[in-house]
Amino acid sequence: MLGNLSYRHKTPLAMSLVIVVATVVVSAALVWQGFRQAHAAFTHHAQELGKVLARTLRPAILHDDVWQAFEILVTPLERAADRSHDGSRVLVLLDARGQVFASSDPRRFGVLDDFARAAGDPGLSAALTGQRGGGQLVLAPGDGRYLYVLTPVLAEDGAVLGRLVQRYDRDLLGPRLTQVATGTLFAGLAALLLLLPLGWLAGKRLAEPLSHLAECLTRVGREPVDDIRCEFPHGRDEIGQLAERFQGMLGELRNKHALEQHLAQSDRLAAIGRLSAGIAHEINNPLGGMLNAISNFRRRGGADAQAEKTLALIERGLKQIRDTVSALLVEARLESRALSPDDLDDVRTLIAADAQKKQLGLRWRVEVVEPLPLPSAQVRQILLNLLLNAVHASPERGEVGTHIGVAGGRLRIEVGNAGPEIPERRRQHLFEPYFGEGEVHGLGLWVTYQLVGQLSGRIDVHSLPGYTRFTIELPLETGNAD
Amino acid sequence: MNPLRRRLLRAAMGACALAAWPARASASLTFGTTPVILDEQVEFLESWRRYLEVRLRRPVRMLQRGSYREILVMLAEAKLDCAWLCGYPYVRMKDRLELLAVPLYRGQPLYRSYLIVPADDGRTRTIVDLRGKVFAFSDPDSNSGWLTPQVELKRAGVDGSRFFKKSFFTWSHRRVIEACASGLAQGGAVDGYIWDTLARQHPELTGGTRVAWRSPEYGFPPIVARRGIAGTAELRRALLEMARTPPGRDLLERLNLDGFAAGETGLYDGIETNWRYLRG
Repeated sequence: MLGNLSYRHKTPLAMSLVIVVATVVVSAALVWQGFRQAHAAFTHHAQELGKVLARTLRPAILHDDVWQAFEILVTPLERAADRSHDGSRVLVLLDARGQVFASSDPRRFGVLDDFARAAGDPGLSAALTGQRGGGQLVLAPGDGRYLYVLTPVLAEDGAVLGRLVQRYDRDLLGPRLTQVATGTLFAGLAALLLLLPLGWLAGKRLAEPLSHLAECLTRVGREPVDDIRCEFPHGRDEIGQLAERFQGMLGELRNKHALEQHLAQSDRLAAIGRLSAGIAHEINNPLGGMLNAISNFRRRGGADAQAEKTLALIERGLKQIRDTVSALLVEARLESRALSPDDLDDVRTLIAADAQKKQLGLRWRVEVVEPLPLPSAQVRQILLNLLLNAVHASPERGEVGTHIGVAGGRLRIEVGNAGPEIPERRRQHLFEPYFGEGEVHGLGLWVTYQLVGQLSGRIDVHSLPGYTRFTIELPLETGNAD
Repeated sequence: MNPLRRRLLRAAMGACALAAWPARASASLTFGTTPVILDEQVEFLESWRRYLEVRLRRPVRMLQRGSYREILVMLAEAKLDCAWLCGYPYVRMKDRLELLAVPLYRGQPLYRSYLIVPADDGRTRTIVDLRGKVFAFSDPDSNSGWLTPQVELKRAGVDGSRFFKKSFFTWSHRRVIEACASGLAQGGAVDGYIWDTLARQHPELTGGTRVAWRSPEYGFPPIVARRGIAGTAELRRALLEMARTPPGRDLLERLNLDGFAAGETGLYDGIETNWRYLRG
């Protein structure tokens, strides 16, 4: 039950519980302390009163003046509440034999009654007979319901004339206890009112990163790794370490995923390459034969006008097949001529007309000033293909940017356009031969990919809504080796 | 006698005359009050004093003491000119005291002694029923608060000094009532006039007690003067006239009395008989 509860709730709950328990314990301690102090003050007050009364009562007991003693005993209880004859406060003067000389409550403790018997407290009797000498005594015999203060009434020479007994019901402390408890209760409630929200907030803040982490963790495996974006507060505490590990793990997962995708794509492209190469060879051999046959037939000149027309038709068809197949095959044309800046300018000239048609801006930045050890035909083809695609994808009056430079022993070609984002589905098969509806042919990128592959380079695409960029990197050394 | 000595003597005599002069010039009347009335009312005594001063055209000093005995001693020592006494000490000191006036209570110069018990005691009928109890007397010089119950005990044939478990004096009638009401004493002897007056003015106090027995009538505590002092006739007249003047009636009203009568010694024969009976 508790194990299933989120830390988001468990931590604030625990905090609140600790606060409540602490407040209750402190309040109880305060009440106990307050009550003890009240009790001590009460006893002290009673003792002081006893001392004063004992001195005042001396002449009364010495002169056997019951009335005077009575008046003295009644005076401290003058207030109406104190005089209520509930027996909660009783002052009794005992003579030397322990009999009542006078009392503030004569109906309970009549003159000459035996005090211990009248009080009905057997423990008191022992205490009374036990008390010798001049000391004051505070007792709570029996069930402790009454508090007794015994003060001897002494003559000038120290002889014990009698004893003043003050009896207080412990219930008298009840109101004081209630008062202390009420005060503490209100203070405690105020503290709770202040601390509970604070504690709850602190608990929530503590648990927040943890539950966030847990939430993120549960998304792994359910959602694509690239969609999982989790932010954590920085710090070297346990949660911070966990979060760092988690981010690391996410990174690794993303890399792995990308690698897998890349590998799958490469494999697929390689398979397609092998297949198309095989098919092309199979087609090219009879195709070459057929074209040669037509050529030989013509050379012999035996054809009439009608036949010549048919032959031309067949020849055009066969040539189209050859062109298509050769485009599919991407044969390595082993040209040794090195790539010069002029080659790149040529491509610009070639594409200018197409760009002009769509009123595109052509940003051209070439940082190549000397011939590079790369086969010029392939690089021209690659650049042309990319630019054609860019012009095609770009909206009217858009802009196509080209940046060519050399860095770290590699030629880097970047071609960007302001076209729409390439859809994810399309991107997965971007470099595969594509024969979509309405398109003349989708072999441009396939060819480019093949060419880049032949030059041991790499091709990357970066596509966002409104901006798509192809980046090609070609190693200069490998170009030489080929 | 040499001249120096004569001069010294004259000077000394002059000094004596000077010292005596203020006393003679003021010629104030000193009036002692006892707890035969509710004498703890300072404001009332002050009003009464002013009233008497106006009537007598001389300063009057009211003196209060805690017991009858102190007033009696002061009378005997001539420190007082007159006093409001109980009939009991009056009959004992009759030869030295002049009867000035007797208050009229309910039209009569008479009052009774009451035997009172706590209100929750419904059984006691006479003082004899209180054997072994705690008893409160008001004052050993009081007729109603001491002499009467003692005589009653003696008539019943018991020894008054051992009859009660404990007895004590409260030195005032009012406090006898308080002692009985609080339960400190199970019985008390009190001036009937005081009890009745308190029953009218402070019923909550007398409510705690019950009058168990009423004595025969005795002469009301009189106002007496030392024999042989001057101005007693004026004082008597002033007292007798109180009932005829509005301020006097006011004061009498507060005393719960109807007025003062000249009175005669024979009023106190009953008390004297009791005294002699107890003594003899």
